[in-house]
Amino acid sequence: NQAMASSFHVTTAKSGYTSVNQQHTISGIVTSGTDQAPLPGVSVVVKGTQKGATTNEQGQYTIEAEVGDVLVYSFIGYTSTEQTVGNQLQLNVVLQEDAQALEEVVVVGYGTMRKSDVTGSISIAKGEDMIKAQNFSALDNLRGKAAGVNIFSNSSQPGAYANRVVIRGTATINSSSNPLYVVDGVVMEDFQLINPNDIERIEVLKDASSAAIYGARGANGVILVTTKRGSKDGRKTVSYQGSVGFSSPQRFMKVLDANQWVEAFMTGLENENTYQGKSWSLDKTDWFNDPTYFDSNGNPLYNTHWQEEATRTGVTHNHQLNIQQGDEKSSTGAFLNYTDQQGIVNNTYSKRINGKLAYDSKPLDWLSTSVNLLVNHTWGRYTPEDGGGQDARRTMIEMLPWLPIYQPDGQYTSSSSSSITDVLGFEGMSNPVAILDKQKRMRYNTQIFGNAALTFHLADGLDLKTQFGVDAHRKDYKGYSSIILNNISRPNGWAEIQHTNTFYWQEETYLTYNKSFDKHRINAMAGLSWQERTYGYDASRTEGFSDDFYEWNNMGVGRTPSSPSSDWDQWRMNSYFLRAAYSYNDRYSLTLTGRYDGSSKFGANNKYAFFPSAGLAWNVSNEDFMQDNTWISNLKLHTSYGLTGNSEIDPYSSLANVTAGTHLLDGARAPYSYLGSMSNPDLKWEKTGTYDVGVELGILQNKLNFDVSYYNRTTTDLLLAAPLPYATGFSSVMRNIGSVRNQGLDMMVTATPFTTSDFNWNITLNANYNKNEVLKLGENDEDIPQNSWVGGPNSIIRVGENLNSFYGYKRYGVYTVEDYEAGDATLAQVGRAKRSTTQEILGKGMPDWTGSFINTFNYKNFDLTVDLQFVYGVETMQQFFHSTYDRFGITNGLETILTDAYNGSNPNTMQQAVYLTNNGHAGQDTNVDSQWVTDGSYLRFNVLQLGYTFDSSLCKRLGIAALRVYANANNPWLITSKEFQGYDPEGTSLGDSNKFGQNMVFFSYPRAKSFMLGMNITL
Amino acid sequence: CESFLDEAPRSAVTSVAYYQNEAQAQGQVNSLYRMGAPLRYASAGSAYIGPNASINSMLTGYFTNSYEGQELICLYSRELTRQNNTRIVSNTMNSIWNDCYRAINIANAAIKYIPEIEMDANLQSKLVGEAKFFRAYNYFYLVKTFGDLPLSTEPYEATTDDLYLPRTGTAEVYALIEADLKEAVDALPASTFANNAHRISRYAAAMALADVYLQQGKYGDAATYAQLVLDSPHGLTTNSDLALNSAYNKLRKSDDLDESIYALEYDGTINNSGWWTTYAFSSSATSIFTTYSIFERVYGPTDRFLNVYEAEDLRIQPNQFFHWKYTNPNTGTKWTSAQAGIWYYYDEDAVLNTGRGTKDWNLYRYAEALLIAAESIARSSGVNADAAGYLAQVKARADINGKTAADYTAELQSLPEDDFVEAVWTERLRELPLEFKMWDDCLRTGMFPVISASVKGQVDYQPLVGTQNGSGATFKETDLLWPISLDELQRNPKLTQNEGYQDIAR
Repeated sequence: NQAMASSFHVTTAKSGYTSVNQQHTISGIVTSGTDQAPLPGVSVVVKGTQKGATTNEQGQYTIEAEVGDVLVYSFIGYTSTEQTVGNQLQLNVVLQEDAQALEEVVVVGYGTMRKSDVTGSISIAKGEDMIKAQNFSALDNLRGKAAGVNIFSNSSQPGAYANRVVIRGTATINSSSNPLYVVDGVVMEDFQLINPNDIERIEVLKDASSAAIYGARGANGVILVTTKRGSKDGRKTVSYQGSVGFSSPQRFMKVLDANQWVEAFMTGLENENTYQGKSWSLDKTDWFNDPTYFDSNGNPLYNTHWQEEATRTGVTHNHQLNIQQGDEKSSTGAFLNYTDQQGIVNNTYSKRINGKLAYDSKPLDWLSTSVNLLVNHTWGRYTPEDGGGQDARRTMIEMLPWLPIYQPDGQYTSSSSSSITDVLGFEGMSNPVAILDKQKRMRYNTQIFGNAALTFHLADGLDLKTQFGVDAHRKDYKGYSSIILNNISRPNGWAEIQHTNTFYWQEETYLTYNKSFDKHRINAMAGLSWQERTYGYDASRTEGFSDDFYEWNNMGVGRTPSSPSSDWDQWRMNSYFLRAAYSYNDRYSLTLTGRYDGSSKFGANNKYAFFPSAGLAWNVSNEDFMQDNTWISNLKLHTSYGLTGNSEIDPYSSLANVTAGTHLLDGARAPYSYLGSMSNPDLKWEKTGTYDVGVELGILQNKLNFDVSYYNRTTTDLLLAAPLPYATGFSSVMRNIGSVRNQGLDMMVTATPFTTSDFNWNITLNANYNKNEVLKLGENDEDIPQNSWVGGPNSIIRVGENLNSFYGYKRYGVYTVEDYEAGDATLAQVGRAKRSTTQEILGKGMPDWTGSFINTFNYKNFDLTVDLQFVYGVETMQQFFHSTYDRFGITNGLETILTDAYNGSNPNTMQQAVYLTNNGHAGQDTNVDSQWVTDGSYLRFNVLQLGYTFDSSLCKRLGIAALRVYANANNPWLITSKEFQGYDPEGTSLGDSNKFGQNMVFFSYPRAKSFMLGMNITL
Repeated sequence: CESFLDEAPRSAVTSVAYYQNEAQAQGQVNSLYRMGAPLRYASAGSAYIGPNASINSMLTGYFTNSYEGQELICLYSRELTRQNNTRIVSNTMNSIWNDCYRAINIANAAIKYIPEIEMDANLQSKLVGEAKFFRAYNYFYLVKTFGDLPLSTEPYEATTDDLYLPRTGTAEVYALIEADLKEAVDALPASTFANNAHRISRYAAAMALADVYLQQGKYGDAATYAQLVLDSPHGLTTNSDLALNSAYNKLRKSDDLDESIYALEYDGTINNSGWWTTYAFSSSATSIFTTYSIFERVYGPTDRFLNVYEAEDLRIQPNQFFHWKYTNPNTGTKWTSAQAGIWYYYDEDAVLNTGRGTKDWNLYRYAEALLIAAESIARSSGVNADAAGYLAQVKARADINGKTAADYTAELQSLPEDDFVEAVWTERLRELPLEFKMWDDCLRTGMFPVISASVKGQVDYQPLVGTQNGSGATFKETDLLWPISLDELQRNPKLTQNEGYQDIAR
C-alpha cells in the first residue's frame, strides 16, 4: 500500500523546427527513475507499426517517426510509457519501476511469491548485508541477520566451520538438528564451504506453511539460498571486492606466571602439612633446584606466556571478481574468489579458491534455460578442537610457565624436561609450540555443485520446469604427528590419510501456474522429485616411524600399520508435492501445501509419509476501513499449521546390522562378527507439528516495522536411540518414541528513527525467545545420559527439562577448619569440595534469548554499521576447571587460585584449597559440579564498519562506475559474566555434530578479533 | 519404481544373511574372545584406572589408586562408601553390565544358530563349546559382582522380545554356568591353550568350572575339575635362577608358558596391551621414559599388604612381583619410590622402545589350579598328600633357601584342616594378588585376611562383616555386592536394587 504511482517525465529539447507529417529522426536517452542511470535494452516502438529500436549501452536510441506518432517505451520491471511525437528531435524519457515489480517477491520452495501473499514465517537476508563482515563462512555472515535463526559460532579456527545452526529450537535427539540448505533449488551439504560472496539472498523457511513443501526434510527449517547471476538489464559490470584483515586473540585466559606458579605450589605444600599430616620442606630451594630452570634461590629463570607463544597475528585476504552481463533474453555471470585466512593459532589456516558460472537464456518464446556451475576448493591446516587430549589448545593453558620453549640443547621442552620432574612427578605434556610445529593435520575439500534447468512456457502463467542438480564432495584428510611429541605420538609417530566422497543428485520436475484475474490471484505448483546420495570412505593409518621425513607421503615406511578401513552407504528419496495459494483482493490469502515423501532410510513397513500444511493471511491494512488510518501503514496477520518431518538418520538404521572386523587371535588377525543392532521394520519419520501465528506491522510510512511471530512446535515419534536394558546385550535401539516441544517468539523490529537528506539511521533488532522441553522419552521415560566425562555424564536428557541440560553435582562450598572442629569433616577433608551426593540439573547450554541489534548510519558519503549480538538466559560449563583448578601442580592453573582458593580464613569461598596432584601429594578431588557452571550470557560487538562511497562524479573522472572503501572491526569487544574465565562462553569441546555439547568447553581455540580494510570497485 | 527405495547395504551384512555359513559361525565366536568378562581383568584402557576387576581389590583397603581423586569409584571402594555414591559407581557398573551381557547375547545366538548351519561337525561342536564357555564365564563374573541376575539364554533380536527380565536367583545362574562349562569340557580339545591355537581348550573350561565350584563351596566337584587341569600337559613354570630368570620373571616376560591355561593375547600391531606397563611405576617415571607420558600407580599395594610375604619369600624380593628402584638401561636415568611399583606389569620393550605392550594377560594359570585343588581336596577329602603336595609346589617355587616341595609337603600334611585351608588362602594372597582374585576369596570364604602391620608373613582371618579393611573401614553386609546401576534400574522397571544402595525414585 505504498502503491507507487506510475509516472514519467519528458524533457524536450528544441533543436530545430520541422513541419507536420514530416518523417524525421527522433533520438534520445532513456534513464531509470530509480538511479538516473541510462537504461540499455529498452524497446522503443512506433505504436501500431513494426518500426522499432532498442537503446544502446548508453541508453540512447534513434527511431524514424512522424509527428503525431505514439512511441511506446517498454522494459522489463518498468512501467511502459507512451509519448506522442511532436516537433522535437530529441525525446529523453525517464522510466519508473513498475509498482507490481516493486512489490517484494520472496523465494519459496519451488517458486516465488509476493511477500504480501505469504502465509508463513520467512526470514530474509540480503547478500550485500551479509558480506559486510567479510567472514570466511556464509553462516558467520548470516548470524544475527534473520530472526529465529540461531547460529552458534563455536570457533575462530579457519576452516573449522564449527557453526551450529538451530532454527526455532532443537527438536530432535538422534537425528540431525541442522536445517536443510537448498541452493538455487538444489540441496547442498556442507553449506559452510560455500563462498559467501556468491550469495545474492537467503530466505529462511521457519514454519510449516513455508517449510512443509520440503516434507520429510523440513522439520529443522529450510535455508533457501539464491546465488548471483548475470545481469538482466543490458549492463556489463565488472566488479572487484577485496579485503585484508589482521586477527589476534580477543582475550587470553589468565593463568599463573612462573613466579605465581611456584608460589601456588608452595601453598599446596603448606596445605598438605597443615591438613594432611605431611611434613614437606617449605624451602623452595629443596624443590626447585634444577639449575637449568631455576636460580639458586629457587626462583624461575624463565617465564613463558604459552598462549602468546602459541598464537600470532593472522593475516587474511579475500578477493572476489564478478563479471555480469546480459539482458532479458540471455545473461551470464562469472564469479571468482580467492581467500586466504591465516588463523591466530600458529600454523593454522584455510584457503579457498572458488569459481561460479551462471547462464540464463530464453532462446524461444516457449523455452528458457538456466545453468549454474560452482566449483569450490578449500584446504588448510588445523589443530583439533574436541576431546580431552593434550592438544595445543589445552597445553597452551596447562603447560608449566617456568619452562622455556626449547631446552638448552635446542629440543622442544615437555613437562618432563626438568630434573625436578622426578621429584614432582609431572605427567609428560608436549609444549603447545612443539605440537603446532610438529603435528600437521591437513584437510582438502573439493565441491562441484550445479544445476541445469529447462522451463517450458506452456501458456500464459503456466510453466513446466525440469531441473537436474548435483552436489559432489571429495574430502581428503592427511595427518602426521611427530615421533617427538610427548603423550601424543611419541615414540612411534603416526600418519593418516582419509578420503570421503559423496555424490548427490536430484531430478525435480514441476508445473507452476501464476495468474491474476481481476481480484483473484492464483499461485499453484505441483511436482515430483527423485534424490539419491552415495557415500564412500576409506582410511589408512600407520605408526612406527623412525624419523619425521616422510609424513603421510610414504606410509609404507611405518612399522606398524593399522588395518585399512572403508565404508559405503546410499539413500534415496522419491517425492510428490503440491502447493496451491490463492489471494483475493490483496487482502485474504490461503496457502495449502502437501508433500508425499518416500525414503529408503525407513522401515519396510513405513517408506512413505504425507506432510500437509495450511496457512492463512489477512492484509488488514488493505481493507477499506483502514484507508483513513494515517499511522498504520502496514498490518498483516498470518497463521499456519502443518507437519514437517526429519529423516536425517543414517541409512540402514531400521535393519539389524552385523558388526564385523578383525582382531588378534592366535597371533594373527582373525575375523569377528556379531549382530550389532536390533531391527525395527516399523521405523518411520520424526514428525513436527508447527503452529505459527504472526503479525507484521508498519507504522508511520513504515518508519517503524514489527514482524513478530509465535510458534509452538511439537515433535513426536522422535527418532530415538531408545535406551534398552543393557541385559538385552544392546544399549539402545532406533525407535520412534518420545516427544519434544519448542515454543517461542521471533521478533524483528526495523526502524528509521531519523532521516534527512544527508543523514540516515536504520535500526534492526532481531530477537528469538525459545523454550524447549522434553515431553516424553522411551518406554519408561528413561534418562539419557550424555557426554560422559570426569565423574560421569556431564549432560542429560530428561523428561520435563531442556534438551541441553547440564548434569552434575551441586557444590555447597568447601570443608573448612570450622567443619573439622565441629566434627563434620576429617582434617584431611579440609579445603576439599563439599558436594551433593546425587547429580542434578545445573543449567543449560541453549539460550532462552538470542538476538542482534544492528545500527546503520549514513552521513553523506559515509556509512557506519554497529552490529551487536547477544544471548541471554544460558549457562556455560567451564570443564577446564577440571585441570586449571582441580589438577594444579601437574599443570598450570588459573590466576584466581591465588585469591579464591580456600586458605583457612575464607570459609565462604567455593574454591578448593590448593592441593597438589603430583605424585605422593594430596591428589586431586575433581568432579563435574555447579562450580564449573556459570552464566553464559554475552553481548558481542560483532561488527563495526565504517565505509566511504566515492561520489559518482569523482568515479567518472577515475574511469570507474563506483568505488567504496571501508574499515571493519570484528568481535573487538565481548562482554561476559564476571565468573566466566575462558575465551568465549559460546563454544564446545564435543565436536560440531554433538547437539547436546553446546557451551561445554574443556579448552578451545582462542577467539579472534580482527581488523580489516576493504574496497569494492565497479568498472 | 518401488525398488528405488529398497536398501542394500554393502559395508555390513544384515540379519537376513547372517547365521548362514561356517565363516560367520567362526567370526561370531571369535568376537567373544575380546569382549566382556575377559576384558574386565585384562584391559588396561586408561592411564588413570586399572581394569574393572582391579577395583574389587580396593575393597580390601590393601590397594590404592593414586588417581582416586578423579577415579572416585576406587576411593569409595577403599572407604566402603559405595552405598551413598551409587550414582558415580553406576557408570562403571554400566560398562560391566553392558559388555558382559553383550557377550552373553552373542553367545546365546551362537548356541542357538550354529547347530543349524551346515558345516564341519567337529568345528561346529567346538564353536558351540567355546560359546558355552564364554556365556558361563561372563555370567560367572556378573553373578559374583551383582548376585541375582536377569538370566537370558535366548538371543535378543527384536523389540518384540521380552526386554524386561526380573532377577533370577544365584542358584539358577550357577546351574546354567555349571551346565555350560561341563558341556564345554566335553566338547573342547584336550590341549594346552597355546597348542590349541589360543582358543578355549578342555582345560581352560575345566579350570573355570573348578573356580565356579570353589566359589560356591562345592569342594568335591572343584577338586575333580582342578585335578583334570593338574593332569593336563599344563605345568608350573620353574625358576632358572632367583633373579631375572625366576619363574615370576618368566611369567612377566613370556607368553605361552605351560603355566598359562587361559590368557588374553596382546601383540604390537593388532591389539597392544594399552597402559599395562605404566602401572608398574609412579608418575615420576615420566622423567626416565619417552615412550609413555603418564605413569600412575593405579593398583598400588600398601606396605601393610606387602607384609603378607615372609621376608624370605622370593616374590617380595625386588624385581620379582614388585620393585622400588629402576634404572633405564638406555639412558642411565633412575626412578625410585618408597612405595612399591609392580614389576610384574613391566613390559621392557614397550616402555623402553616401542610404546606398545605385547605381553599376554593370564586369566588362569597352573599355580591357581594347584591352589584350588589343595583347598578343595582338603575340604572334601581331608588334608592328604595330594592336597599338601599341591600347595607345597607353589610355596617351594617361592622359597629362596632351597626348601623343596617334598619338605613343604611333609610339613603341610600335618596341619589341621582349617589351618591348612588358611595356609592356602594366604598362599593365594601371595601368589595371585596382581591378578585381581582377592575379593572373590573374601566373598566365598566370608573371611577377611587381617595382615599384620608389624610381623611379616602373619595373616589372621576374621569374619568379613564387622572387620576393618586395610584402610580402616568396617565391612557391612551390604558391601558384599556391587549395586545395580541406576540407569539399568530405570531402563528395566522389573529390577530391584541390591540392599543398602541408593535406588531410583519409582
